[in-house]
Amino acid sequence: MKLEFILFGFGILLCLAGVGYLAAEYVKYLSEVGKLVSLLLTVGMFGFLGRYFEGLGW
Amino acid sequence: MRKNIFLYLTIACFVGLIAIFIVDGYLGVYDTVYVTAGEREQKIEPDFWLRQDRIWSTGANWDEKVFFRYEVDNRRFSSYTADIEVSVWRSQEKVRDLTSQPISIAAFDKGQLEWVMDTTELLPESIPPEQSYEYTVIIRRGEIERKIIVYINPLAYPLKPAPSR
Repeated sequence: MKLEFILFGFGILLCLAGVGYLAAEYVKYLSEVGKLVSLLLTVGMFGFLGRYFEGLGW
Repeated sequence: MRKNIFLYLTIACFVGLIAIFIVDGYLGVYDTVYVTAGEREQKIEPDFWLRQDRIWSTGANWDEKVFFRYEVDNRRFSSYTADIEVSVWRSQEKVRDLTSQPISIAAFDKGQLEWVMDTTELLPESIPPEQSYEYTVIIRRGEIERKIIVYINPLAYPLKPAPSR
C-alpha cells in the first residue's frame, strides 16, 4: 500500500478524532442554529469527501 | 483546480465545523454554581441552565448552613462586568438578600463569589422542627437568572428536654 494512502488515512482519522472530541466537549453548549449548521457541515464534509474519492477512481 | 474542488470543499466544511464549535460552543460567558450542604458539594454545570426553565433542587438540614460558590468563566476577548444579586424567596416573596456586588472579569479569566445561607436566620420561630420548608435562592447576573430550590429537611427526632430526676 502506498505511503501516501496511509498518511491520508491517518490524517483523516486524526481530523475526525479532533472533531469528535470537540463535539463531545462543546456540543451541549451550542445554540439550536449552531447544532443545525454543524449537522449540515458534517453531512457536507463527508459528502464532498466521498465525491473527491469518487473522482480519484476509488 | 476543478479536480480538487471537492477536496477544498471538504476542507472548508471541516474548518467551518471547527469554527462553529469554537465560536458557538466555547466562546461566551459560562457560570458554575457549587452548593455545599452538609458534607456534600454539588456542582451545577453551565449546560444545566441552557435548557429552558431548569431549576436545581438541593436539601439542607434544619439549623444548618448552605455554602454557595458562584464561578463565572469569561471566555471572550473582552472583559466582562455585571452586577450579581443573590436573594432568598419563598412563595414569590423576597425573604432577604444574601449578597449584592459587581463583578469584573478580564478576558479569558474567571471570577468567583461566595456566600452563605444560614437556615437559622431564615426559618420562622413559630415553625416546629418536624415541618419541612422550602426556599428559592435566586442568583441574578445582569439579565440572567438562576434558581436553586433549597429544601430544609425536618428533624426526624425532635429534640426533647431531658427529664429532671
